[in-house]
Amino acid sequence: MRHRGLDRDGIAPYLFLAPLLVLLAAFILYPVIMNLIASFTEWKGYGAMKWTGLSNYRAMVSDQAFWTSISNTAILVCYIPLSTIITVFVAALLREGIRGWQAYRAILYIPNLLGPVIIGVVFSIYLRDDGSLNLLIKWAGGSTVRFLSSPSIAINSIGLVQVVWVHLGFGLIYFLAAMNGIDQSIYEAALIDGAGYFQTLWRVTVPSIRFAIEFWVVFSFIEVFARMFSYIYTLTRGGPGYGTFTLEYGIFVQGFEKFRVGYSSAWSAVLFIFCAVISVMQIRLMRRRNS
Amino acid sequence: MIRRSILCLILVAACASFGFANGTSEASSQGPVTLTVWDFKYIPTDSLKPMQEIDALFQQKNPGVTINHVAQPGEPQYYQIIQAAATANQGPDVAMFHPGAREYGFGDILVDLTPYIQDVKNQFTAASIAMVSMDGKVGAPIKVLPMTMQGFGIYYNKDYFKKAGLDPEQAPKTAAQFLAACEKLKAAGIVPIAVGQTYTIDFLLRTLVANAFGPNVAGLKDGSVKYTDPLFRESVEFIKTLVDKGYLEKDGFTRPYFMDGINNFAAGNGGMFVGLLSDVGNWKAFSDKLGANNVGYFPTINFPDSKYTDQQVAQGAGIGYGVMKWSKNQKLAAAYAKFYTTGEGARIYAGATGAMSPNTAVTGFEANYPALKTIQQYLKGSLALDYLPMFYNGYEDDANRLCDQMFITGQLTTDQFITEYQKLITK
Amino acid sequence: MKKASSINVGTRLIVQLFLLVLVIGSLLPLYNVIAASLKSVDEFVANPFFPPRSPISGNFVYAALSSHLLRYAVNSLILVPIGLVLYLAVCVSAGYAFGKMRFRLKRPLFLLVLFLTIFPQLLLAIQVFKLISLLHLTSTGLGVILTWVAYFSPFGTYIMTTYFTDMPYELVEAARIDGASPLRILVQVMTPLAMPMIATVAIIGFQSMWNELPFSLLILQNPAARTLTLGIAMMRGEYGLAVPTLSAALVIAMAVPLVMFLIFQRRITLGATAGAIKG
Repeated sequence: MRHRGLDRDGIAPYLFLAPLLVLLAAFILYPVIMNLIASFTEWKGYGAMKWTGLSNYRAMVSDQAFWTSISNTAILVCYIPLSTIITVFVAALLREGIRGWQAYRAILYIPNLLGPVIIGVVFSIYLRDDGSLNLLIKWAGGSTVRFLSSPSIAINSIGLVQVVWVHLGFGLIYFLAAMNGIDQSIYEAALIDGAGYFQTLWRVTVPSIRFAIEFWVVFSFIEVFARMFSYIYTLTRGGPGYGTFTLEYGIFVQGFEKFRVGYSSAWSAVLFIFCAVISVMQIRLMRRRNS
Repeated sequence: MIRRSILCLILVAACASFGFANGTSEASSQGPVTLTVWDFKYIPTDSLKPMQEIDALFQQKNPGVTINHVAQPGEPQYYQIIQAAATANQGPDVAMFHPGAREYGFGDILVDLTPYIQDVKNQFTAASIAMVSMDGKVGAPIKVLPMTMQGFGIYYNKDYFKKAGLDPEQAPKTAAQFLAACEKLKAAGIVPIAVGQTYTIDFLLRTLVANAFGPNVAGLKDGSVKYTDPLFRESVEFIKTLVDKGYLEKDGFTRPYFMDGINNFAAGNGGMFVGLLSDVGNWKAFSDKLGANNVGYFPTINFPDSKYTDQQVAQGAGIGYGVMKWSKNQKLAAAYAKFYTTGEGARIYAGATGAMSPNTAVTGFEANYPALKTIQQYLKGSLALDYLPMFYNGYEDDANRLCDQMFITGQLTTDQFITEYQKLITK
Repeated sequence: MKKASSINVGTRLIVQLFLLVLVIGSLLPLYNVIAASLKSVDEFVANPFFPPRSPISGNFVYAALSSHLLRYAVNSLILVPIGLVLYLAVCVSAGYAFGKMRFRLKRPLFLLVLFLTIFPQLLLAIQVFKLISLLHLTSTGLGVILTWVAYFSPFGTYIMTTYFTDMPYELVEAARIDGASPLRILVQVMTPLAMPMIATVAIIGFQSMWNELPFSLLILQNPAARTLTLGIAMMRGEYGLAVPTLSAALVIAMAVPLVMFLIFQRRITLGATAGAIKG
């Protein structure tokens, strides 16, 4: 059965896509829609749903915890530029013919490999006020740094450890692969022209991997908004106070600790909007790259 | 060829995973019966051994019954799993619960156990019966049978008191005595109050609240008593003083209370510790490690203008067992819960763990534990109910976050704290 | 691979030092965990930082047996590879469809898939669990595998789509002229050609499933069925464990991905550097 034009391949593509689409419809699309509906109700997660209109949203807007969660998420977003710069910088370094660069790349990948749960638990012990890092600091003459017990520092601990350090490992592999595609002759020309290290980095390397960097930034946004939960849960439980309470974590607390699923869905709706915006950004990037 | 082998692989994978660890509990109606019990204390560092003993005894007395005792994680994951079970309308026959808001929140999946305990009801303290009845109202359906009662107080290391030049038999019960004791301990190089997370402050505040309001603590629920009361303010500022003067071990707030904090005090790293009466971190845990005659206890700190003194804050029921509505063996499940909370079962449990049973027929352990004797005297003489568990689900989490902000990070002023704390009740 | 370098030997030494510092910083927390796992509780309270003076193995015994970590590890080792096979099947076929086939709804469907990549598990967890319990798949391997495949496939499909899009069309055209059916083309031509990228997607998928938490927590209620990640996360629960015992558990949990990493390490880097990852 040959169609012309757009449908040249008949139903074969749809058959190939069927498993994916069925799974997505059942496990993602349906829950997202149900979640939006639930945000207008009062519900325990089981049993009856009671329609309450906009009251969840009104409560959310007057909830201090909500605004704190937004500002905490914003602070984490501020770590994305730092993460990008450091990752690109180190990746470029490793390309300079350093001996054993593969070993460095492999070892630095380990934090990412171990996963957020293990890293979260490890650091929850390591960063304690009476933990090893503080012991080192005190031994070197400093005073206790309250990595996890000061809200202003705690959120930055998360930014540094998860956004910068853990992603460094994955970023190295990603950017090194991207940089591999750059034409070597440009570098030789730059060397002949007498360009120094940083000049080459900024004028040659970075522009050549522009798309890779853009996708990395979008990927980082996704990580900050939607993939921090396991890490925060094992590290600080959103504390101290509301110090590391992000939007994603708030959804968890309302829905799974207080069993106010309707209220939690209102928070989800806000997160949904952020995710939708990021998604559109990503799609735009893809279109530009394909054009 | 490749295509066929890939298809085969997928089919095999699907079948294998389907047969994998299938299902939760299923009790067959004829022949041998399996009762599934969910518990967050069925671990070696907690109550595993005594529970195994009690289960074996129960199986002995009920031939044909097998107990499938499942160790589930503690709060808050525990209740997430319960919620998931409620959503699926299937799960265990019996589950452990914290009476109070937690229990009431899940009331519609729990069976009314009142008819099953008519014959033993008067063995339990009135406070415990009240707490396990829905919404704390006497006469309402009893959905959980109480296994322990709970409470908080201050333990101290008598040896360290001696070292610091304090009289080990004189508990520093007044505010002035307490501060002086802290100062002396600090001067002797001993950490005055060993800390574990915000729980230390949380529990201490509750002992002070009990002392501030005495038997009227219940008024917090209906608004006849408010946190704006000057005695509460005094309590808050007292704790703040403890933090500011460094008497509360500042580095201990990131140390998990359960296990690490407790081990820390038991290893002798502090002069005093705000501990529990039941569960872990109690008179037995400390007496066994520090020496039964080395552990002192007093329930709270008395302020000069307190109307009440030495109030022992206690919860009628700390933990208990409930029977789930979907259980196909409700009678047997109720018998199981009853077995743990009365008679031989309760006795074994209390004896092994140091948990205090709300069943008045379960006694006799004070002989070797002076600290327990002291506690019981206070319970008899000046008990004040802890109303925190009666507030909504997740209240303790919110309260602790506020305590963090007030005492540990200093983000709130006393006024702000009191306003926010009061607001929590009406949420 | 070697590019013309613009830094001299002297600076190179400094760079090596810098990288060494990074590496030590990365490994220091792990050293701490390993050291702690060999200490008794009393020793740990007394000596938290330095290597153990009298190492014990008791923590490992406890973690492996009483905490059932070995069983959880086995569970993960069974569930994740099976999930991975399904995941790859879905991603590769969908990726090929989006990347190389022609059909009217391609654009909108792909945008939909892209859109659904982002949502956090928590947003979906309750309804997903309801679905699983409706299908009577609670505490089953199939239930959790379906969930994993459903949740992680969009991203994997996206990666495979970009790869297949970049692949030259001549290959498909040639096979088509030969009269091969679409399935044949996919399996016998496309899949072997896409191996480097499939390896990369496999690694991403493996890691995602191995470390997944929210869904496993709700679905795998039967403790016999729990995954290793779940076991570790639950150890941070209320009535926690003392640090040494927790550390021993962590060491066991870390051992598995580390060993797999060492074995498949070349694959990971080969896959990434085979010029397959573009922007």
